[in-house]
Amino acid sequence: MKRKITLLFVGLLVGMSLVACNFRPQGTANYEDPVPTGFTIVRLHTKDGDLQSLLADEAQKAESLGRIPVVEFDATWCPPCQAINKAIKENNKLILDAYADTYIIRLDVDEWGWEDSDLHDFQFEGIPVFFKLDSTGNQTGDTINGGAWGEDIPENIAPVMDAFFHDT
Amino acid sequence: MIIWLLTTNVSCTPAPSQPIALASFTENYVQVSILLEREPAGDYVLSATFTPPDGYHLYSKDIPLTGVNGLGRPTSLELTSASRMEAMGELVESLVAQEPDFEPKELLVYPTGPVTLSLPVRLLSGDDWVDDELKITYMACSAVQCKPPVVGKVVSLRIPGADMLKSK
Repeated sequence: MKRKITLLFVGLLVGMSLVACNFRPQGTANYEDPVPTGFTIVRLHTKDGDLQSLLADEAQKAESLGRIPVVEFDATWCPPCQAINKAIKENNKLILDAYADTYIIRLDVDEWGWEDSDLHDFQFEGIPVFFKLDSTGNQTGDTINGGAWGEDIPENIAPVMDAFFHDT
Repeated sequence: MIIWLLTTNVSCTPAPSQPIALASFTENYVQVSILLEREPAGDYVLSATFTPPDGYHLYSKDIPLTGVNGLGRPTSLELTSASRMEAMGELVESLVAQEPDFEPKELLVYPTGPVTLSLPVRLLSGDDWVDDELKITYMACSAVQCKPPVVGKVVSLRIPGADMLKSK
């Protein structure tokens, strides 16, 4: 009987540990599903507050994870944006490797606007577009858009994104 | 001066066989020009020419308003419920839409560059210009980037009465 109770207790502890390991912090960001391993993707919403504050928070989280904070502007209607998303969801190895150690902060332009909106000096003329952030959530000045690669296939996207993310 | 006026096309009202420019605007990087033409048989055709940036294409008039799986937006010229013109036929495209190189294949695209949509219309009788409106939808993408869509933009314009053009 004692042994059964001990086993039950151990099992309970293991179960709680697993739940704790998969715990996703509650905050302003929505963690996209499925959450890839090796990097992080979050999506910010306007209802959650001021963009600058949200980006500062996310940049801090990225730093605590040892990951590179990057803002990506996208939209559901944008085929090139969804091509990247599809490659990630399909666990394309080239893309997963390119995105290693990044912390992608997605902003939907339908929600956040485009030009003349409260985007804190994010300037762009097309999506998808990526902006690197520093640990305080400000732009580093490094940016890249879909024009940097040719056709939207992982073989084209991955090396360019890898070089952008990791300064190689 | 009088001879110059007689020998040039300067006139208070456009000649009936010449297209009449009704409206023109640029929004989200696409230039749209709306014209009214009188065909030799006496019918009227409303047309809109959509000119995207270099290297960009527009989507077929026949894809759903919400896109294919949410992707893309159709190119469209429509009369509104308040319009004083009456559609007398189907919308006609100047280019044949093609299957894209990417999935979903149902997301038909026009070849890169401008496309014109034409709609046969009946004008109000009378010999005055009247206020009218129509609705425009489009979205421009290249192989790797998209501009934001314009959906259901109501364009105000003034159209001539049918008698006004017949009398010319």
